[in-house]
Amino acid sequence: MAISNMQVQFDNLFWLFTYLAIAVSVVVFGLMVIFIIKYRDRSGSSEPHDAPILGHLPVARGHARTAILTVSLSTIILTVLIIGSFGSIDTILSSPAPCNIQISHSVTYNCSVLVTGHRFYWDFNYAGFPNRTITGAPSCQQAICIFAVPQSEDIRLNVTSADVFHNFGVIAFKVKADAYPGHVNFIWFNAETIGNYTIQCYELCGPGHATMIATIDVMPLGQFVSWFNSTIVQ
Amino acid sequence: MAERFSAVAKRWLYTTNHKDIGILYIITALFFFVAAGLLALTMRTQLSIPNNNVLTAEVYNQFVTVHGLLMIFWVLSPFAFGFANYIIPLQIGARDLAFPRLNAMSYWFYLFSGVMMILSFFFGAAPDLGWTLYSPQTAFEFAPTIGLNLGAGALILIVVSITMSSVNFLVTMFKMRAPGLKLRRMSLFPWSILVTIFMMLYAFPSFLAAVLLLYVDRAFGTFYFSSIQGGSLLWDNVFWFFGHPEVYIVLFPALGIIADVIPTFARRPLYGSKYVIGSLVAAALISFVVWGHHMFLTGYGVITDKLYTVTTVAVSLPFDVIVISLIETLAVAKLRLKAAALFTLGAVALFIIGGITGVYLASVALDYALRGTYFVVAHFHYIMVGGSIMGLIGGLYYWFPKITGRMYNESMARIHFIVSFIGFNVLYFPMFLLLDMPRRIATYSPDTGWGLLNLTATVGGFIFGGAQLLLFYNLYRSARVGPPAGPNPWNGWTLEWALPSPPPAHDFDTIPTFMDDGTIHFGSSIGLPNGSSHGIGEPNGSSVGHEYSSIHSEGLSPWPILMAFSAFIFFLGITIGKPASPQPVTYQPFWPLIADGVILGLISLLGYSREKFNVHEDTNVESWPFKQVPNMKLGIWTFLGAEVIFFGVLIGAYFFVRTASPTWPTPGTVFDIRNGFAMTLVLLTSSMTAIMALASARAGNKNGLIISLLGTLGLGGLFLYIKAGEWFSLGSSGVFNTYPLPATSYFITTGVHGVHVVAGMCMTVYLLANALKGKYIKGDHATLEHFGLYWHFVDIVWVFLFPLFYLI
Ligand code: HEM
Ligand SMILES: [Cu+2]
Ligand SMILES: [Cu+2]
Repeated sequence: MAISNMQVQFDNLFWLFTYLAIAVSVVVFGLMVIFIIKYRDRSGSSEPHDAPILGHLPVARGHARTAILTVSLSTIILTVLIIGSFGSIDTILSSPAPCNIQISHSVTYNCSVLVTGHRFYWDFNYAGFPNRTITGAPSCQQAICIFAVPQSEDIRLNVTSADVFHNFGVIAFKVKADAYPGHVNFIWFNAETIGNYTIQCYELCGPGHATMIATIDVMPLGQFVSWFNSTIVQ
Repeated sequence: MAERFSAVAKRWLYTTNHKDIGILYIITALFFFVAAGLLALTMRTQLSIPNNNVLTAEVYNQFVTVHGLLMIFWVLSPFAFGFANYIIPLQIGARDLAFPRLNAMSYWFYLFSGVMMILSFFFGAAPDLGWTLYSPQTAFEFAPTIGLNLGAGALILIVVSITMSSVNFLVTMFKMRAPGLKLRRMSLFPWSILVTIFMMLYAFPSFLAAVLLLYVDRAFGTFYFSSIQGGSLLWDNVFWFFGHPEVYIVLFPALGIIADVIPTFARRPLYGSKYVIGSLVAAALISFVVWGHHMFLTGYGVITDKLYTVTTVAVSLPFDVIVISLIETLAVAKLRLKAAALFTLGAVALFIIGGITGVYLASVALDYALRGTYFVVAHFHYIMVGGSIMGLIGGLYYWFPKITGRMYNESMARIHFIVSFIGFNVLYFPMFLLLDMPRRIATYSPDTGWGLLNLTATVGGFIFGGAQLLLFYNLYRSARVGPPAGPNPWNGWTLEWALPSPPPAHDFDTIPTFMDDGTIHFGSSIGLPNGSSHGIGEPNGSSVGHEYSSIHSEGLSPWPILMAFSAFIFFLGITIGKPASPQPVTYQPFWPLIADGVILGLISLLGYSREKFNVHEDTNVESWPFKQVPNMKLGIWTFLGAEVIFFGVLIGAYFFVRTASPTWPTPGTVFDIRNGFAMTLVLLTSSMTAIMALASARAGNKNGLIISLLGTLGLGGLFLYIKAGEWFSLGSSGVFNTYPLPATSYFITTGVHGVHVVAGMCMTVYLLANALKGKYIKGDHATLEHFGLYWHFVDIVWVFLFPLFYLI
């Protein structure tokens, strides 16, 4: 199911890796198992002619062509994976144009949010409205705790931290960014399905790390506009 | 009875014999393995069901951190180096390690550092921020307990231990190989250790510098990691520059064991051993340019990210060659599936899975989702437990008969393998599927849906942990009542199998010799299996089977353990002192312990240097590429190589914060150029006097020697005098408030350099005392020469520091 553009992209790439991994594993493990079964010591099997024995250096064995073949085949597979990864990372690290949502006749919003990590909660500031801080604290119960974004828009996040090293991750969207003091990291996503999704911290930041959880609420555009009007603009 | 006990205690406490020390390493590493394993099982219990409360988050974080630190630093490498200690001198036909007492000292530093790490639990709280110790969470503000100080102290001590033993192994392996044993002819285990110590020599000084800066920040309230300009990124870079090579450091020895054990049991030579060795070297080199993959998400930009993706993917190529060679070795073999073979083959299988999933993480695009999840935990356990620990256990079964002279119970060992292998996969495979679950979380809620997989993993954890009881029981019992193993139970070709099991204290009676035609001569008296062919080739040059030039002495020395103990006490005194509150700087170390440590240290240093413990160098050995260099000198050079990295990182850190800072005081405003200039002149002159001292000694001129040494001492004192004056005037001028970062980098860098000057002056005093007694002028001036190398190095470092801090 398409939850966000980044998640779709991740799934495709992940399965590309996994198909190739399975193919490689079948070959390698197959070879290993066959050799172990076929060449195990049975009564009557004779000592190989080049068996290493005490008092002699073992004779050299093996061809350069095996090493070359191994490296070449691996390089081909890895090149496919690298090309796939580079395509995805170009998307991840691109910066989409700001949106232009008409909140009211005088107010527009550009889909940019400043996310700040604290021990142990996140807060969210919508660009242009720095005074309305939404805290995604786990214990937060009021309406202002909801971090809402509009559906099917390119949402651009600037992520930083007010104290220690955190990592901001929206689990289902497959987006993540380091949050550390003195630096702002940029990530973006396009949420395609309406609903609530969990935000969790992915870098150990102290005793409250496991519960440094917040929720992101993906709304249809109309609902977002009225929510924005009532909670952010005021 | 009591007498017997004290004899036994003395043997183990004072031993300098490489085999004894090897055994001590192995047993101690297994002890830490159990300790860290119990922490892990407790964590698994906590995670078995959602919202569990066996452990609080505070305690969980300590467990996860100490588990990781112990396993990486106190289990994996020391376990491997236990084998290296025991086996490598035998395999290369060396009498012992090059510096037996230094070897003993490495061990005791290792043991005491581990004790210190565990002690941290009892001083407030153990380190609790993950083994990666990310900054700025290490700052006093966020981690105000003494436990983290102790942890930092423990890490410093173990780095000292590792540096000593890597210098020792390097000299041994380059200088003391049996005649005819060219590097290329060594088997894979010694090769893997050789590559490992090179990585250690270049990776650990960087880590030492990082931990030192971290500690000074905490103790004295300086600003390297607590500032925005230094902070997270500086730590990330310095730590992972060390951290990635470290991952290979804990893996390579196990690979070496695997690559020696499999051919022995397959009865075929290792396939393409040339290429396997080449691959190890290649991977070691590449390992120093991949650290950026740990920072894919820190925002270095698309070019950097792609570059590190490519280098990281490239590093998997040599491993492909190694794995394929290992598998190919089995072709047309006669594979005996004994426990050692099972464990090493199992290790290869698990390592393959770990390696393949590593490629996922090398892809920056996937890492954007997988970073910090249980997928990572699964990946590195497949490498570190599946590859390393399983491989090392294979080595344990392999060499147990050699070390104890007795056979273990084979069927119990096979059951041990089967249960471990199944338990392992039940434990770690589910973690691949938990690719959304953050690692290092103390608990999770039921609606995440992670419960079942976690429960499975926990069950697997107890199967895996329980299986290890079989290992301990089997080895404990067999060491006493197992049937005699004989010298060569596995029909191996490497040299240790030519000796009786266990080998006599002095190892070989005569030096083994490798002939040009590939045969190996052992001289007399050795437990070669009956009728095994016994070289017919011509000796190359020298005579065969000559005596070692020194017969191993009793080899007992009390000083290594005492020295390590005094360092332990000293660091305890420093670290359990009251930490500084961030501002103002009010560090209060625990002086009584520090004083004890210093006094004990001086006593043992004196004892150590006065003890008659001559290790003669055999002249008739293979020592390419260092034929002309005496052991001690090679040791000093390698040590200085490590020092170069160490200062390199300190200077690098300075550049890092300096370029990240928007402003920096212009030259001459804070640090007086005249002072710097004067100190430079003084130090350079002292280098001259050091050269004169050596020249006088060579010429047999006692007075000249004494005067030059006095001059060196005086100039060193003058340098410190000017430096101290500068320190005090700067310190009292409140420079930490006006220029926090320039002051931090200045005080730390020149402080560390000052400590080196003090150490050099201590050596000078020692040299003077001996010179007054008429030493060094009769051709015995080697010590002077070594001192000179060190002293010039310290001066050269200053030549770099002077422009950095005073002129630009
Ligand atoms: C009985 C076997 C073991 C079990 C059950 C186990 C379990 C665990 C668990 C639950 C974690 C915490 C993951 C997290 O919260 O991030 C962990 C972390 C870790 N384990 Fe193990 N482990 C075992 C053996 C080992 C071994 C043998 C090694 C190394 C040789 C090892 C190395 C590590 C490391 C490096 C970490 C990361 C610590 C950190 O994130 O700071 N473990 N292990
Ligand atoms: Cu966190
Ligand atoms: Cu790495």
